[in-house]
Amino acid sequence: MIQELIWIVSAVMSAICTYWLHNRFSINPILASSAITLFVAIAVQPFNEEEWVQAIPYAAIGGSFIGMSSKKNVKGFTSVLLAGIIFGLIFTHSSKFFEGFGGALGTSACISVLTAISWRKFLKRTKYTTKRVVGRVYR
Amino acid sequence: MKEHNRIFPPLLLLFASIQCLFLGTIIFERANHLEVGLFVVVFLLILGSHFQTYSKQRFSVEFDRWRISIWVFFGSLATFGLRSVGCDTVIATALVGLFGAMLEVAFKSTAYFRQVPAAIYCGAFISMTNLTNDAGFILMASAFTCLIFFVSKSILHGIGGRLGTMAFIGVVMAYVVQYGVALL
Repeated sequence: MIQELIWIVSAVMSAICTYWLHNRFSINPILASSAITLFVAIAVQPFNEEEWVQAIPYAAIGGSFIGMSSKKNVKGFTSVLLAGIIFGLIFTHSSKFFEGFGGALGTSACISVLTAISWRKFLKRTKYTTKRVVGRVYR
Repeated sequence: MKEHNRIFPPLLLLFASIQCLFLGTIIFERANHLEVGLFVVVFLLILGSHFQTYSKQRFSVEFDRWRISIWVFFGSLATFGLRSVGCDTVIATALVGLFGAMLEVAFKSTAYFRQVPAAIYCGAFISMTNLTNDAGFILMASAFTCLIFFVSKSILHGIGGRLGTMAFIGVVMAYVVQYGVALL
């Protein structure tokens, strides 16, 4: 349980850092993503004996893909946080069939970003509809 | 640049189906667990998101240039080379990505090199494959990914994980071809 939590936290942290570097300082998303991944991978290298520690760089590289989104599509850190958590959940429950397939982390990241965007849109629409319906009833 | 709007629905369908397949396998494998409900919600939101993209009729699809998408091969082969030398998978991918980003920094005035890092990083993801150590498989996956990178310049633009999805589609296609050949 704690190991899974650490994976999720590392994914969220790298997503937020990459998003911040890319959108705040206009750094090339690929430079931001690869630099953060390299930093995490090298930092984890001395403790690489246990299997769950070896998975941390994978969580970090997947999280950094989320941060590569532009602020035009993913507005605010809340969406990035939500996407990071969804990515962490997909990462910890990833299917055995697609184990070892290149690009699976990117697909998980894309799924989590799209989910975060559509969740926010869904909430916005529900709020708008509720306001309209409630307003009509009590008018 | 010439627009190719008729290719948009099949391309979107390809991206949507590969993501649904990925989520579908998780739902299938976790069918008896409680957390499956969460993945069903994610599945529905993904479907909704792709339907919404499709319903926006004002799309325009442009193709990338061949000279840029060919760099996918460089990314995949460089990562494959680093991995066969003994470098860690994640470090090899990050190093190749960093090299691609440095290319852009070094040739900032050239417009051509602005798109190249994306192609290199996309290629690097292909070589993260742990299925086989066969260079032929990587080359085949790179060829598929190169084709997808070439046509899908306008799909999921500005969404994180787009390059990884392209690499994943290429690897799945190569896997299907290899599996089909082995069956014959």
